[in-house]
Amino acid sequence: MNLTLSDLTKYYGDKAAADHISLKLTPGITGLLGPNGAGKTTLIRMLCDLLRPDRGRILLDGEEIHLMGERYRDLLGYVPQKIGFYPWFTAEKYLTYLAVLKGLDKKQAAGRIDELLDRVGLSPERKKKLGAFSGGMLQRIGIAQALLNDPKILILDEPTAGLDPRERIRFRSLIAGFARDRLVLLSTHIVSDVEHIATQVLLMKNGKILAQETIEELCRRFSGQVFTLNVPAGQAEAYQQLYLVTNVQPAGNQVKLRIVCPDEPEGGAVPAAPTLEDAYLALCGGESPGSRS
Amino acid sequence: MLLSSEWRKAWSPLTARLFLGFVCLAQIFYVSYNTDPNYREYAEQYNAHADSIPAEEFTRMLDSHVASLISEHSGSTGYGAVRIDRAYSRLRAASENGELVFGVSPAAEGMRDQAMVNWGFVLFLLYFAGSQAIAENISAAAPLLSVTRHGRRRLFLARFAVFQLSALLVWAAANLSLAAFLTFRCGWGSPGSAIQDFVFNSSPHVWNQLQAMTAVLCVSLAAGQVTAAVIFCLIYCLPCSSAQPLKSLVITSGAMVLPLILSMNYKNTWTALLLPCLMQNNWMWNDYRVIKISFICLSPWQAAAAELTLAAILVWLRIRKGGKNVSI
Repeated sequence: MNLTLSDLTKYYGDKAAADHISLKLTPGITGLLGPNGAGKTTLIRMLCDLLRPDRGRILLDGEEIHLMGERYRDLLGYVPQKIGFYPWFTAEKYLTYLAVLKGLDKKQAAGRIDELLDRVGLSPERKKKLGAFSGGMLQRIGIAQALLNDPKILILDEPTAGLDPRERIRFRSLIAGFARDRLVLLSTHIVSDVEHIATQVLLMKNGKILAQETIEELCRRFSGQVFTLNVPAGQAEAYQQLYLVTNVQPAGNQVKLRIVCPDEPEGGAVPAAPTLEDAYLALCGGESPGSRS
Repeated sequence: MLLSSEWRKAWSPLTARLFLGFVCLAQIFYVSYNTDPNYREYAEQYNAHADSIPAEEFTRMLDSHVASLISEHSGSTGYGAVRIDRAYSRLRAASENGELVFGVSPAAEGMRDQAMVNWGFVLFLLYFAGSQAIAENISAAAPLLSVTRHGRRRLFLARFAVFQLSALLVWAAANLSLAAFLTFRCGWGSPGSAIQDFVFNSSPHVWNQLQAMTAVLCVSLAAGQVTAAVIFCLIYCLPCSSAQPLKSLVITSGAMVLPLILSMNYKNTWTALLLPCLMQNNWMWNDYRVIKISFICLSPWQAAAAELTLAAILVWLRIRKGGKNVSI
């Protein structure tokens, strides 16, 4: 199963939220990383057929998703950035309602709801009204509803927003377990969400895809360009003006800077193994070295 | 299953059920407040006797009335003495044969006066549709629902069906409550006896109490359903509906409530013909009147039938389009 995006473009006024995007998504977990305003949600809404592109097409195994209609939606599970819900519904009723909309019959729905509530750890709260749920609990319900129809394509838009660290780890294992032979697209601006589970990463900025590679390939791009350097605390800001600094860690009366730079910085810098965060900040998040005055 | 899910979702807020109860009681309070304290005694007298004017006198009154109508319309083309005569011929024959009973049927009169049913019905539907549209907007569930198999066309049609069924429920509940109240309050006498009460004494229709009420209630039901469909279309299908449901609600309220206010004067046939004023259609059967459009003369009920049919067709076309292109 392949999702092919061909010259996908969407404008909001003069601004291109998606700027001639062409890529192919395959089974496995693909992380979509980008800063706020990169166009991730726009891209996702087009993939969910919620938004029509101004130009270009999205094809599932050669067939346009817009023309597939219900057949495409049958394969789709979607966790939006904000989980829409009705506060007076209980968790069980809400999932039942969505199961009906997804075309499950009564018996199928009941079994699936039991299983999913258990998987997301919300079985004890099944009779509780959603209005009383915490943010983390709502996110888990959001994930449960997306899996109701056992989708072959799962699209998650900032699914870990509002989750505490333990919940985020739980979420990652849930998704990793699910993604064996399915296409999962996980959109986030939190690198650690993607780092541990994604097989490939898309980096997006200003409507453009800057990179579509595996984590290893991305890190290899910056091999020999990442350094750590201890500097006096008072000079840290000056270094941040000169170099792309991806981490600042206090170390007594000094600070340990993590720098991404093609050339080794002066002052005793030690080479370090590049991480996904280094690559992300280098490509999406920071000004390029040399543009700093 | 989708229909029952949407029904449960629409009716789960307590306020909807309370408002329904209020609508059922509104007309009962109105009738109680506006009727004579001796209504029950009078109703018993009517039900027992019901013939307070001799048949010959009624025939004379009828002839006088028909003559005045002919004189009034004699200068107009398209209709005239022959048409008026034809309209009243059966009534005159029934009068000459002594088949008519003259008098006010208190229960029928109470049932035909649907002022509060009309207002309650419209206000309830505006509240019902508006609150749901606003709740959908606040919940931000639309994108989630739109990605499901049935979350577009079928969901839209299911919501429309639920709304129409809810309108039927409200209409039926209000009228049944009123009918039950009137049965207890003053009884119905003999529904099958041919009547010409003072409200009807210039009507060309030879109807009994039951037939008169049936005509009024059937038109009221049809008008109510079409009104409900128009309210649904305005609230859910206006361009601003998904992003600004409150704006849709305000526009729809103006479109529905203004005719009601204008039509309080029944003598103005045009305003009384507007949706949802047609629900109160008692006036349509009371006398001989025509609506002239250029050289065409229509009875009010013919104009109403054409209006309802046209409105129903336009609504159906809009619902078909709305089901295919659900705004997200």
